[in-house]
Amino acid sequence: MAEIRCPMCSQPNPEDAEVCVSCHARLKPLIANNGPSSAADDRLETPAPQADSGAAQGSDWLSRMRSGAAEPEARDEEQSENITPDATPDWLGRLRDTQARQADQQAEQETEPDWAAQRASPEDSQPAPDAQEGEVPDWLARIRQRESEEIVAQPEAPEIDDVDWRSRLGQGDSAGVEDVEISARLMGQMEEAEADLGSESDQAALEFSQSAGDEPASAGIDDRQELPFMAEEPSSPASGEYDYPEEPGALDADVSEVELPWLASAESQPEPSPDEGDSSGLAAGEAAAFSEDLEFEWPEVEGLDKPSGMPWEGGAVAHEVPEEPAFDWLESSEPQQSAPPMDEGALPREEPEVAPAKSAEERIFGVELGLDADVPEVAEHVPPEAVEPPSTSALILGEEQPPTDTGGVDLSLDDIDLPDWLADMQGPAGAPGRGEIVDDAALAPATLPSWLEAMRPVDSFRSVMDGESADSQAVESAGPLAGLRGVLMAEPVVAMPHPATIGSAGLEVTERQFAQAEILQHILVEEEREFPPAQPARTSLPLLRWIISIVLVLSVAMPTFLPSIFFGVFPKKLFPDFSKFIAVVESLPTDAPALVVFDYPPGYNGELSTIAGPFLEHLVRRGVPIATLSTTPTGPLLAEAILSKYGENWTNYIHLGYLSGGPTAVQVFAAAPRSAVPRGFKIPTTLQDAQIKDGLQGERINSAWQSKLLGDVERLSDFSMVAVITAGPESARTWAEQAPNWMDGKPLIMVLSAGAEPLVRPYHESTNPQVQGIIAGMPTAVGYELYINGQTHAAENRWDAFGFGMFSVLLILLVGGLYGLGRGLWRLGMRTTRGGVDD
Amino acid sequence: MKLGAHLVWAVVAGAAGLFVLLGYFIDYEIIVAMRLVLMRWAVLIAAWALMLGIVNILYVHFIKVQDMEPGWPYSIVLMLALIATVIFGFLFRPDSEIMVMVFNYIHLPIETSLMALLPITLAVAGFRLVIQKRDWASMAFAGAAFFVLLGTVQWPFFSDDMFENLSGLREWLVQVLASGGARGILLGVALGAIVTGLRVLLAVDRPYGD
Amino acid sequence: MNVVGILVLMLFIGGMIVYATIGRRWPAVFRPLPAYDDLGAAIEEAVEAGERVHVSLGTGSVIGTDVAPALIGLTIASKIAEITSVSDRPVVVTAGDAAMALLAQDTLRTTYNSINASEAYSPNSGRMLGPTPFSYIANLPVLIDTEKVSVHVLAGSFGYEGALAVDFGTRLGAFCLAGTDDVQSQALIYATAEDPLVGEELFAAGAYFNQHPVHRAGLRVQDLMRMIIIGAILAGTILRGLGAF
Repeated sequence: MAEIRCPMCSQPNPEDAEVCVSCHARLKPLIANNGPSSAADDRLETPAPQADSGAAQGSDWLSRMRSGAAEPEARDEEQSENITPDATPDWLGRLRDTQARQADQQAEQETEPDWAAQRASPEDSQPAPDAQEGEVPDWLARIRQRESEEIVAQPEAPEIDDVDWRSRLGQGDSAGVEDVEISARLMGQMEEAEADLGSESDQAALEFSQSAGDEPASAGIDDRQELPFMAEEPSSPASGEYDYPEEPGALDADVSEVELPWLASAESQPEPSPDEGDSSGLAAGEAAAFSEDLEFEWPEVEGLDKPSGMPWEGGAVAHEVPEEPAFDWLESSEPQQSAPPMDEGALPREEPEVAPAKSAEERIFGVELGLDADVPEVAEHVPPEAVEPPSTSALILGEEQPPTDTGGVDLSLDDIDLPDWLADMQGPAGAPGRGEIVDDAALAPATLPSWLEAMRPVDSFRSVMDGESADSQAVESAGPLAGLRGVLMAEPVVAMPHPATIGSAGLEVTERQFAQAEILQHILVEEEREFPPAQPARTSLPLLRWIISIVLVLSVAMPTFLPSIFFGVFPKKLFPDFSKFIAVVESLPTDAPALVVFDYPPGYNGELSTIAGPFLEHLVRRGVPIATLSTTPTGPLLAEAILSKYGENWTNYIHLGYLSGGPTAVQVFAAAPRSAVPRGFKIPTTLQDAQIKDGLQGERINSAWQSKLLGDVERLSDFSMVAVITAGPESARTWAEQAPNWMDGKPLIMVLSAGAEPLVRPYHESTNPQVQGIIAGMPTAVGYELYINGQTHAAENRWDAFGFGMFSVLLILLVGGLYGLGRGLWRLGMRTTRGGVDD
Repeated sequence: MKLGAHLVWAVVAGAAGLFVLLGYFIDYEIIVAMRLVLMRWAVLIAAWALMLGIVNILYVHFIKVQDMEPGWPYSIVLMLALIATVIFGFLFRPDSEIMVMVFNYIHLPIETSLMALLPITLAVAGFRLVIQKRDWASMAFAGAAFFVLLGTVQWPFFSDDMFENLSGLREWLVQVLASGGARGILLGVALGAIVTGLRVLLAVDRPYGD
Repeated sequence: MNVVGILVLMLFIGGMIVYATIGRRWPAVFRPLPAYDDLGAAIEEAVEAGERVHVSLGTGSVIGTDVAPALIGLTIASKIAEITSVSDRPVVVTAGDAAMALLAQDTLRTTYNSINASEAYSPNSGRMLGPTPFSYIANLPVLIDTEKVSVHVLAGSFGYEGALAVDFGTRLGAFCLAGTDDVQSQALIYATAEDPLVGEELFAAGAYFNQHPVHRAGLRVQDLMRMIIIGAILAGTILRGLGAF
């Protein structure tokens, strides 16, 4: 069964298959108006260009193409091999017939053939593998691998096996050795392909793949494919087998014998400028886009490198476009002799009558659609200037520039006998070359042909604004798409942020706001700043305190060392309360003890001991027993310290001790003294019997209540008197308020400090006084001492010191007052003066 | 705060205070007896509280020494003195001659000396008062102090009549102005003390905690 | 039975209840006390500076008549404890009486628990400095210096040693607010303290700190009773002058 070689993956497929089984690529191109086969027939009928007489009489592949064109539906390998150069392929004839019909189809250019649309669909196309320069592509590797294998002639020549060779044939004029070989090989394949083409759609697909720049994933040239230029004998391709040289350079000799007129004509054409290497009738962007859309898988050809780039790829790749179209042979209607087998690397010679060079796409497009330069449609797409296609060898070898050293192989394509129809497609003589501006009003504007337009993927993906010229499009300069046109610019649209255009992007800051922001920043900086630990404040010398202290100390200490002559005069007039006090003391009985309460802290001992001394001495001298009591813990000790100077413990006085509970305990003691103070203080261990109560002799003394002094004291009223020695009015008030209720009219007198006397006096001067006598202060103490004329002279000794101290304090207050007054007046004067000056 | 415990303590405190207060106004034996019992309990509690206070002093200064806070050497001296005094008191009884000597020659002079700082402090305060505070109250205060001091001592350079006049002025200032003002202050203080005590009885102020 | 005493007692209690009830509708307006205003500012500065506030409850006894100013001191200490709970150095309360020191500990613990700041409480927060007044005063400068006290509040019963306590705080640069019930001490405090509290201004602390509506009611009762006493004094003076008795 005949098989169709998939142009994309080179896998064999059934003859009637529409799409490839493996890669689902379209096998049979679609044409909108005509059937798939009609398009192919039209193309086949395109008159071939005039071929040089001296050109190659048609290689075997060309012959096969011609013979195969007569039976486009046969697709037989034998037919493809038996194509004679003189036989006009039916497909060529059909191409001519369709020329007239194409003129009517001008309006339907925009119709997208189904096959084109399907072909353009992503699912039908496969991305061509990237063939890196310097690496042997897979297809070439496979070719080499299959050299030793017997190649079975395939009835169906690979349609898209090496579509690139078509473009390469029309591009570049000089090629290296490898280019020649590859070109020859490709030509052979092409011949086979042309011969086996059964449908215009296939042919169009082949050429589309070429124009798209796709590279076949697997080269269509495998061990079963026939590469006429690779065969040692011209007839060898007929068998469908090619003896692939093991080394790429082994085909040089064979290649040199191959005359490819069309290739020679392509060599003679000037190299097109890189910018104009694109399709003449297409914008660079469109072509690039178109090429991207057509994802054809280049057939892998062993020994063949993927071309470095197609002319429509971004326009960055400089392709050498031969001045003469590469497919001049396709344009000639006459069959041409098949070119002699070419070695690898040998380039087919071009025929001299090759039509002016066109861009590869143009030639391909023209071939596919049966359009040539004479056809109006084709004329529209014919660029005003001749676009020199890149070198075929360069394309085959993947080089931008054709190899300079051809190894003696005539790479010219002038001798290639191209069909008439292909020659016609070269365009009129004198067509403008590459780089020349053609001002031809007949030239169609740079618009895409309808079928090409139809091949675009989906209109919805494209904006209406498509059609922007390639020159106006910016070239991407960053990212992986650098160098391409018509792509979304990464910068600054996508990658680089941009400020919003809506509204004001600037921040208006007033001076006040700026100042506040500075303050805030300063505060924040200050907060973060670490301050060293604050140095301890340098304490200033308390000079004032020192001076006053020295003055007071000297004033009080000096009388100690000096005879008291200054304050020698004692107070002549005693306080009026002194007489009452003396009267109370004088009226006390001697058979009942007097309760003396020592309710002052030790700190007040200096004043109160001076005042209470003569009082206690008075009591002792009168023979009144004294019972001491204290509501402070240190009271008994203070009492002992004073009374020990005037009398004897347990003889003249006795200590009841500490009454805990404060003022609350006074009530308790007042109600039941013995229970409040059960034991006493400083109880002697040994006592004379006379000193204890009768009946208790020989017993252990463990309580003050066992002494004779306390006798039959059971209640507070059993005491003859209650005397409170205190420095604070609270204690005096407590006794004055609590004790009288339990004393049954017994006198209550108080020995006070000078400061407490005013607060206690109301108790003494009330209508029903609760306190019958009070003495307070140093003057009273001095007078009391003078009254009793006893051994105590503490007040007298301290009188001068007391006086000088008082005098010093008076002076201090006086000086301070005068200083304060003077400073105030000075400041007032200064303020007044300053105010007057300001006025 | 536990509501039950709070109420119990409040009731106990209020009842105790009410009994003591009513005992001053109502002469019923039960109330008087209850008052005396509660007061004796208060005396006992105060005595034991004194012991807790001494323990608290030791604990505070012990922590100070342990953490070596500023002034910790003085804390060591305080603790040693306190412990020594307690030991002497247990060994020799509080009314022994040794303890009397300790009191007479250590405790008494220290406190008397602290008291001796008061005239210097007051003199300096008076000096600054007449310099810095020149309002009417301060001037009256200083003037009263001046004349009281002036009328206290019979100055040699003053005659007896002058002394009698100054003495009379002093008496008037002390007995009339100072005493009257003091009585007014005492009345206000007494009123404040009554209200403060009633707040405790009404459980508004709870210094005993919850 | 002392009927007058009972009536006065009932008058006090009733007046407090009434004023506490109508206080919301007819709130009282008290005269400003600069001492308490300065105290608030000084406490805020102490908290910000990381310094300590010291409250002294005086040398009065719990079972004596001088416990009232100490209870006011506890009220002030409770309020200050709430404010200084966020400080690095919470308030410390000292007393010259052991029972008063225990009450201070209880008050602080209750206050910290009520504001969920129990971690700020320490048993050393309430302490007894000395059993006698001058031994208490002798330990005060050490406390002020080592504890970095910047606010020195004396609210309790003081004697002459109160002046020394204030002077110690003033010499170390602390803000001193002092108030006591003793008249003599008030005179000394007036000369030495920066912000003295004279008379019953100390007992108005609870009302000025808004501790409880009963505090404000109690202050109003005090004013009421004061007016009654003033009227009685004036009436008695007039009658005595007219020879009624």
